Amino acid sequence: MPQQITDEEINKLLNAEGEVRGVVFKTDHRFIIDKEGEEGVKKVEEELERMNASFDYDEEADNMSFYPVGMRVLSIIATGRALGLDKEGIREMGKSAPKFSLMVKFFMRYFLSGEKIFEKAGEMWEKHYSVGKLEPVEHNKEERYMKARLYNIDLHPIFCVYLSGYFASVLKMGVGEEVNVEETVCNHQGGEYHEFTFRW
Amino acid sequence: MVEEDKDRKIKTLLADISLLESYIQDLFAFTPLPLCFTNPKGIVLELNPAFTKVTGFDEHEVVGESISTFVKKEEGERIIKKAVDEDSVKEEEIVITTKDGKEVPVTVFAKSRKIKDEGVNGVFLSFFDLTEIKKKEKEAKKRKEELEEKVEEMEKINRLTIGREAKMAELKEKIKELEEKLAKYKKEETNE
Repeated sequence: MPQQITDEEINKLLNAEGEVRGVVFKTDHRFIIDKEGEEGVKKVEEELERMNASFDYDEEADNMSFYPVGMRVLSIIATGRALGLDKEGIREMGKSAPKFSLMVKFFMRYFLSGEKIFEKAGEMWEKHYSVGKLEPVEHNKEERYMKARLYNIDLHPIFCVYLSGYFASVLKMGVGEEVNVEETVCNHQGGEYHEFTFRW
Repeated sequence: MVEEDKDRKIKTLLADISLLESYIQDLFAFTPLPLCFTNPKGIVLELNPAFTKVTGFDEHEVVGESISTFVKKEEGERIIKKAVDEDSVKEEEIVITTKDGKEVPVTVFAKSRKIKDEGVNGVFLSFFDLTEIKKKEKEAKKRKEELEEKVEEMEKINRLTIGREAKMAELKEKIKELEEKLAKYKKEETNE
């Protein structure tokens, strides 16, 4: 199960430094509704409660407000557990998020090409998270690939799976083709940062 | 004190943005006209509930996909190009293919979205469903054809009736002529 988590990890997440904008919970909420309706939302909220991280998606999630960054990962884990999602399911969850995200709409003017999105990736990250730094590092037009690194954020491996889906979906809106993402370096596997390679 | 003031202002701004956001969403959701927004390459970035109602495609099925998901490729490319190059497209008839393969005739209106110093960054599209109008047009055409057939039939009957009356008049004339001839003949016979 990709969303297994120990009490110690939950505590680490609940005390993690940094904040995330509420828009991520809005997109989670939409994903859950689309998958299993209100019943699904109830199941996810129960999972969160079991992790001592109660959250009411309907009442508490506000697009613009800031929340503890650890809640971002706990929401993914709770959703995965409640809806029985495997790794691919979590990636799908990440893929669907930009389609409903208000924050992504603010960046629509950059969705003209892969290059433009690549150039603005760091800025987009900062609008969502107060921790971590996303940096584009390589763009090969001929071979149709890009690489971006994510520094100073080490929450949980499931977050990497979610992000790979999320990044693929955002990039697809610019290049107009299906994008494959691979996490080629990971903090959780001894790397000093996360590195995502995008190919289309 | 300065920090407190700053926090208060940020909170007010966030509340204002939230209100504005819900207003825009409500407005977008309220309109019965299917709408979508694409980038200049024709990749769908947003759509409204009326769009889903008409096409059967949900947001997660269309957002991030090309407009050719529901419009013929060449037609979609032409509309987007025209909107980008000429600023807008007014009342052009195209066909939308719904999720279940049904073809829906629509009138499309498109308008490019420009940002100062950045140029065109997308295209708004709205579709007016012509299904009912086309249905009514078809019914009206059928009615017209039926009426025309009836009129032709009536004219035929009319022509026949008029022909019969003329024949009767001719016969009456003939009878009258013969009666006169007979009378004349009888008179001559009496005189003899």
